Parts: sequence; structure tokens; C-alpha cells
Amino acid sequence: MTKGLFMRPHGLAFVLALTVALGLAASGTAASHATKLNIYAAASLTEVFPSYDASENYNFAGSNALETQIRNGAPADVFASASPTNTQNLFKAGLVDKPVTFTANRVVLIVPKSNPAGITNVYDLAQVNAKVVLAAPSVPVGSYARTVLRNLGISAAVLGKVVSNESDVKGVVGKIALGQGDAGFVYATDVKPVADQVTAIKIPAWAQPRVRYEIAVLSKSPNMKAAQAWVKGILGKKGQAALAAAGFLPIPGSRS
Amino acid sequence: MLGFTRLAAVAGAAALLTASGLASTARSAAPESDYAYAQFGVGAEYLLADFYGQAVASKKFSGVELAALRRAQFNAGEHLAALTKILSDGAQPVAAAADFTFTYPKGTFGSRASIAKTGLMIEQAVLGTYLSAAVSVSVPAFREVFARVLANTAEHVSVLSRIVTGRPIGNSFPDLLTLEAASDALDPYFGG
Repeated sequence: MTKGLFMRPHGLAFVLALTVALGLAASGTAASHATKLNIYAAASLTEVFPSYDASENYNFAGSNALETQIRNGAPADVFASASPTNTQNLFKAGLVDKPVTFTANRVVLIVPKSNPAGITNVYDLAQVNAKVVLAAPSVPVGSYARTVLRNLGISAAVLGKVVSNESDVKGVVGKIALGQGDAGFVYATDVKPVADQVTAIKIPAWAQPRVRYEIAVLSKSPNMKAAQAWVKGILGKKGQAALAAAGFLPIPGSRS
Repeated sequence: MLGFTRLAAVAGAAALLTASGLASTARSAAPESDYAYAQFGVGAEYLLADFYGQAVASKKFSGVELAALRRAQFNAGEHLAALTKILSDGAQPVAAAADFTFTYPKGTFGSRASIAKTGLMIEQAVLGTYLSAAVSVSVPAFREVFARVLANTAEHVSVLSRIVTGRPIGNSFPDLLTLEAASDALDPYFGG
């Protein structure tokens, strides 16, 4: 039935409701709602989400840790994961609505600016005596890093050089930026904030894993409408522009 | 980007390969370096399928040259299916068409000569890498796949070399290329 769209408005209440609805849709963000949303997001989104919308409460960590927190009843409204695995796990458990892909990324190798191990390409990792820092295998970027090494055919030679398994990507970035490791795998978008401390080394395109970010609204969010609007906003023009400005890749298949 | 027809052809080729046993690869654990060549090959063949698709669509070729480009595009699809099978049989991650976007130097598809020159550079890098694979992979079934794919790739090189230099036959002993060197040569064609 579409007749509701053309019903006569019932006074001021209708006008106010319409104004709020239009305002929310126009802004594309959840900034216009009274309660701040609790947005649980992958650590790699630490810079870009607040730059897109500074008005919400954010909890950044490894996506696997966030999944566990949500399973344990953490009061999240929105969950943005660096891997579909974590959102899909929660979807299967009935804890989030159907997740959608909202961006993509690339994995790079970073070395300290001083580069004491003399690493100039990813294959050097197999040759030189280096302290390699990865995220733990359960963390998306840790899993992606191991896929890269396996695709390149050098995991057997490199995994024995791993000196630390960090709980999220920022842990890897920090260790390399401080010179506590010789090389680490992070997302391309993690390099910009520490560009004066690290050098990024490209991974061959054919060896890249499929890095897809998914977002979902919590099924029992008390702020369902605002959370849905926030997700709609990040999928919209403004949200995608913020992600692109931070170096994230477009939603796969959306390129013209 | 590969269209539906192309993808359907790839799927069909995979089924045929399974039936023929061409890619009935060893299911026991192969060294990861063997799979690395197949991973490279999948990316390279997606690139070649895209390249030949655009070359055909450019309308800069006709007659036997156009037919050769169409055939090369078909070959890329079949190579892709065989290499994908090596990876999937080994429970390795397999890239899909949607995982890649390709980019070419400005004006690449503007003339017959520039198309052939770019194609020749890509095919020579791929040929050199398949040569390395054929002499270094340890699983005999994989070696057979790489050897047959490289023989066909050499034909592509010959066609393109004839267009670019007028000489269809080149060195007696083409150079082997490491995965590292091949990656450096081909990465400029992978966007995003």
C-alpha cells in the first residue's frame, strides 16, 4: 500500500517527524540523534571513523576481540569489522542484522625508517635475519599477513622470525614505528599516521588477500533507527568519500 | 573486466580439465613455493584475459591478427581454469576476477603498435615466470601444467613479437624470471 504517502498530514506532530526524518537522511550521519551511538570498529578504522563523524562513542580494537565483547553482551549499536568472518559469525548467532561490505583495503609491509635489516622488498624477509612483527592469527590483519606469506611461498622461511603476535594492527604499527621490530604487515591505510617513522613496501597484487570490511547493526540495539542511519551514511557519498580520503578502497564491484 | 561469457568459458574449461585429468594434481601437500607460481599465474592470466578483451574491443586489428587475439583471450581463460584447479585442489586461497582491477598506460589501446607492444611486455614476463615454474616446481603434475601453459604463452609472444618487431621468433633460450622480478614487471598493470 502506498496511500500512506499521500495521506493528509495530522498537524504539527507529522511536520516534526518529517523534519527529523529528512534531517537524518540529509546528514547521512547519526549526529542528529540525542543518544550517542556505541560504534565498535576495527582498529584500522581508528582515524577515519572519527574524522567522518566525531559525535559518537567509539571502541576500536581487533575485530576478533570486538566480536567476543559483543558475544559477551557489550552495549554496541554498530559493529564494523576488518574481516567478514567476525560479522558473519555474529550474524549466524543472531546478534547482528545482515552485514554489508562497506570498504576494502590492501596489506603492505612496513619497516622502520632506519631499516636496520635492510629490507627493500617482501622477498627479503625470507633471506635476511629480521625480527618480524605480526598480529595474532585470529586478528584479521594477522590472518591476512599469513595469507600473503603463503601466497608468496615464503611463510615457512618467515614465520620462524616472528617475535611478536599483536592483538591488533595498531600494535604492529607501534612496534615497527618504535624500532622494536624490523618489519611488520599492516593495512595500507595504517601508514599515513606514521609516515615519518616507517617506510611502506608494496606487496605484489597477485599475492594480496581479499581484504573486505563489513558493517552491521546489532540486533538488540536500543538505538536501531539511528544505528541504521549511521550505516547508511557510511555507505553513502559522504562516508565513502571519508574512507577514500583515508586511503581505503571502494566497495568491490562499485567502481565505474 | 571479465564478462559473463568469459567467466562461463572459464568454468567450462575447468570442468573439461577435471574430466581430462590435465590438472589432476597431487592432493598431498605440495611445497608452498609450487603454489606461489600458481597464485602468480592466476593474477597474470586475469590480467591477460582483460588485456586481450580490451585489445579485441579496440577495433585496431582485423583478419588473422584479430583472430589470434581472440584465441589468446580464450587461452587465458583456460590457463586460469587449470591454475585455479591446482590451488583449489591444494585448499589454497584462490583469487577471483573481482579481486583485481587493471590499469594500462595512457594510450595503450590507441593504436595497433602500442597494444602489441604492451601485450608483448606482459607476455614475456609471464613466459619467463612459467619457465621458472617449469624447472623448479616439485610436483610433476604441476610441472606438466606449467610446461603446457608456457608453450602456449610462447605462441602469444610470437604473434605479438611479429606485430611489434616483424620477427616472430626470438632468442634460442628465453630468460627465466623470478617471481620477484615478474611482480615488479606486472604490478604497474594492477590498479587499486
